[in-house]
Amino acid sequence: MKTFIRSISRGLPRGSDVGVSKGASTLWSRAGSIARPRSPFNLESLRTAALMTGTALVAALFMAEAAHADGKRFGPYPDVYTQECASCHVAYPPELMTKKGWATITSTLDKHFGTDASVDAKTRAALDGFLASRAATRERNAPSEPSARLTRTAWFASEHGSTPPAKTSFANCAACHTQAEKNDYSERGIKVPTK
Amino acid sequence: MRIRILVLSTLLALSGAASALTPDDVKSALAAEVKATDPAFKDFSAQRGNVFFHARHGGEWSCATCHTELPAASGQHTVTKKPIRPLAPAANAERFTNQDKVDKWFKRNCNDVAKRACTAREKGDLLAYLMSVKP
Repeated sequence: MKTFIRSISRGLPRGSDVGVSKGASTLWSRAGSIARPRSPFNLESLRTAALMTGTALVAALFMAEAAHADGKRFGPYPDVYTQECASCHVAYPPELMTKKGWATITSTLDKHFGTDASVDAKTRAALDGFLASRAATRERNAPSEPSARLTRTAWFASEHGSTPPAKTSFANCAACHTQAEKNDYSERGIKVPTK
Repeated sequence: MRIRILVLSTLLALSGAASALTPDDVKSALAAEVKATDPAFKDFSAQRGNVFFHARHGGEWSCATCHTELPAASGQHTVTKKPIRPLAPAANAERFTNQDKVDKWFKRNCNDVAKRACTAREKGDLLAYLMSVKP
C-alpha cells in the first residue's frame, strides 16, 4: 500500500504503474455510475451508493496493491531500447540511474565494459531521449565511479551489497531475479542460486 | 473480385518485403567487395571461416566463446549469461537477413574478438562457414 501511495505522490509514473491506475479509476467510475441515486431524497439508495463506492474503493486499492507487488516492475520499452540495449544483457530499467549516468553510458558505447556496443548517431540520439525521459532523479541513483556502472550506485549497493552471489555477476540480473526478462524485479520472483 | 485482387497484391507486397535479403545476398555483396581490390578472387572458404571462428585473435574471446563451438546451437554471453540464439542460418532463419544488423554486429564483435575491424574476406569466410553448418 505504501508503494501505491508513493506512486501517487510521485505524480503517477511509468510502465505498469500507469496500467494499474487506469484499472483502478475505471473500477471507481464504473461503481459510481451504477450507484448514482435517482432521487436526491432517497436515503436508501444514497446509503447503497456510499456502500458500493466504499467497497469499490477498497477493492481498487487492494487490486492496485496486489498488482504493484513491491513496485519493482518496469517497461515496456521502445524497440530501439530492447534491440540495442537488451541483446547482450537484460534491459536494465532506465529508472534505476540518473540522466547523467546514462549519458556516460551512451557516450562510451564503443568501450562498453570490455565490449564494443557502438550504435550509429541516430540510434544514440533516440536512446538518449528515451533514457532521459525515464531516468532517476535521486542522488542515490547517481553513478559513483567514472564508468557509470548501474551496479555501483548507492541505491544498488544498499539493495544488493557489494558482492554478487557465488558464480554470478551483478550484470546478470536474471541469475536471481527470475522474471527479469519480463522486467519484473519484485521480491516474489527472487531466487538466489545456492551453488 | 476487386477485393480478391487487393488481398493478393497486399500479400505479394508483404512477402516481398519480408524476404528482402538472404545470407547468399550478404555473401555476394562481400564477394564484390573483395573482388574490387583482388580481381583474382574466386570464392570464400568455409574451412578458413571455421578456423577463424574457433581461434582467438589477440583478445580473450573467440567467436565460439559466446556463439559456442557449434554455431547451430544456442549460445550465451560470456559475462552476462544472456542467451544468444543460434548464429547459423540453418538453425535460425533470421540470421544474415538484415544488412544493418550484419554490419552492426560484425563491427562490434570483430572489435571484441580481433581488436580491429574484420576484412571483407574474413567476413565472407565466416559467413561461408556459418552457412555450411547444419543443425
